[in-house]
Amino acid sequence: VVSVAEKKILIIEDDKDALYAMGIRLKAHGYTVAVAMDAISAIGMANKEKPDLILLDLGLPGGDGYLVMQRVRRNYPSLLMVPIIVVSARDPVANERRALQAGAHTFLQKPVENADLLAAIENALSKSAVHEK
Amino acid sequence: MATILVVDDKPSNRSVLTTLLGYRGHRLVEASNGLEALDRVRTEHPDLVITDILMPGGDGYQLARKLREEANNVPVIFYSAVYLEAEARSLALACGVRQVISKPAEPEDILTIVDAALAPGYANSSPLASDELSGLIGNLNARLYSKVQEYEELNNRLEDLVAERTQELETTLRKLEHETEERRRADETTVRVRDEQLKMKGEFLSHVSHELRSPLAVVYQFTTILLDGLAGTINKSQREYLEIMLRNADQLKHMIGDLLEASRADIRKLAVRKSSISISQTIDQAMASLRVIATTKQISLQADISDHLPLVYADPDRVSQVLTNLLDNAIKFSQPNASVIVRARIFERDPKFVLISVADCGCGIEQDSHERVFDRLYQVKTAFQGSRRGLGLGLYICKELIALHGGRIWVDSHPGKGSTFFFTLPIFGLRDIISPIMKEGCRLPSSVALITIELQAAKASFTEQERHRKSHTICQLLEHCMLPDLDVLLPPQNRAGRDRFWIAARADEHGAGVLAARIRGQLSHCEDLKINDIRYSVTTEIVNPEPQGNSLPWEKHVDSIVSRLEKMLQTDAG
Repeated sequence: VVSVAEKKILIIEDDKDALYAMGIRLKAHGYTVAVAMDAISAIGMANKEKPDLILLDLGLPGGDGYLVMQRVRRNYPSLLMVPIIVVSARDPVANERRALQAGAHTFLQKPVENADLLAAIENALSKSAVHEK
Repeated sequence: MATILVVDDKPSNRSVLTTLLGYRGHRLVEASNGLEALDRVRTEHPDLVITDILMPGGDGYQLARKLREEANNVPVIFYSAVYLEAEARSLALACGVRQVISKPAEPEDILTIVDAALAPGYANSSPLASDELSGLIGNLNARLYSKVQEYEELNNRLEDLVAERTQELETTLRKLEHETEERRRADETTVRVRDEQLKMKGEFLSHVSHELRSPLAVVYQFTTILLDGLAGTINKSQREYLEIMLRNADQLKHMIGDLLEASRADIRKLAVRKSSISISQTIDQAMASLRVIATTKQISLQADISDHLPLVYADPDRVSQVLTNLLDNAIKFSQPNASVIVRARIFERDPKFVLISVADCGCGIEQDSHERVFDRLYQVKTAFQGSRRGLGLGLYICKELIALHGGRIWVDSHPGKGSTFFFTLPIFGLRDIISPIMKEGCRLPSSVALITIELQAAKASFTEQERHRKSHTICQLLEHCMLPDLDVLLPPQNRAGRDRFWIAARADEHGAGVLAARIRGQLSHCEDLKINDIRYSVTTEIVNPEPQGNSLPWEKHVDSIVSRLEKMLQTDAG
């Protein structure tokens, strides 16, 4: 089992308060955190940081979360297996299926209970870990 | 009977007289002018002549005059327009004609005059001397023609007037049509505007709820960061205050959700994903989620559920939402040490439904509010005036959700004694989804095949959401293989980590084989199964109707297939 401390999570979120809070929470649970606040830098950051998991907001300046997923999946084959968890305030009725079809591992609606967020992260990481073997 | 000569230039005028007199049994002869009439008199020897006065090609008075000259004593009656009556009478006198009928005349008057003229002893009076007559005639003629002109002018004016009125009428009619059309368009616009407004309201609420959720999420996150001691240790009071913050943030979250749900209900867009569910399990889950709050308020939550309740056909999340709402209300309106009881049993009045009730011993609801509590934004007047009352959307959403399941929701309540909310959910019936594929009227009863698809994950366990997503993917894949009118997907099941999907198909062994092969082909290409290392199996089985199946009526045939299927599914699931 890979230790949590070695796992890096890229948080893509344009609300800096939300980003700040999410960073504190994830670091407290031992994850390494990288951040991006708009779609374009998020795509570059994903390639540069090679995160183990991406937390993605849907509404972003410079293009939305769907664009980020599409570009990351298309441009960087090495990131193909990196799970993406969408964390959005948007309506799940209109967005959950679309997000899953675009390649998201999970759709979580804000506000997300901490327990739910951490469980989803652990689950996604364990899946990709199984896969790497 | 007599022979009567009718002289008139207008056939319609002649026919009035010929019809009337012919009916009396007289022989009738017609002429259209004076000259023709003279000929007829000579050949037909009529007993009576009835003539118009003004005619082209020989006037009536000329005719009368000629007859006298020829010493023919046949009686003559002038038949003349009423407005010329005075002149006609002078003329008649001058020509030795004793009778004048005014057009139009009553049939009875005509008959009386004719009968009199035909009576023996009737004689024409002697005409005036010719010199006297010519003066009179000249005078009369002039007056006659002026009258005719006047008449024609009048007639023209009348025609103009009629045309004018017709025009006016048409204009009015067109205006009316136009107004009707405008009103119709206005109505259409109203409906469109209303729809547009509802849509805009929906979009607005969706936007607002999104915008409210983001800051709420931040409040939640930092509150929990403090509570969890991530920013340093906190003392007892700080913990208490933060917990209050958290509780209120949670309430806010639910209100935002309700706002969005209510706007969806308004445009009938609440999403419901029905499957066969165990109602007792759903009740247990809903009660578990509220146990903490109930315990805090010292309220005991109890369940009284009939054994062996059948599965209901409903969306588990939605039923849970309704139950949570009712339980939440029941707890809110109960005094400490009271109990809230959830019951579930077969609905006696309609055994195709399960009746679920949530009873409290709270303050109760006045009789006149029993219906209105389910109205949008309705607020029950409570003893807790001034305290927070919520949005008044919860029961409205419950009502809409239950209606979407084909059930009903109502309340029985007595002020001071407590309220019991009831709702019904339809029992899951295999028959309801099987009968559409069993075509009625077929010569031979159709044979039905049951195709079972079983998935089993080799290693990893899945979260509820992943399982849901996986199940959804497989359902889509299966639906892709199916023929809409022949095959139907039965509610999937998940037991002990194994997912089972069933398709009932109107097919024989060969058809079922083709379908199974198509499904295997699709599953073998399914990335989701490969990635998660999920094994699958596809088996087919023919559901034979009872031996006497061929002679059974369609209804009975469906019943027998359904009962067979039920048995097969039970053994399969067991």
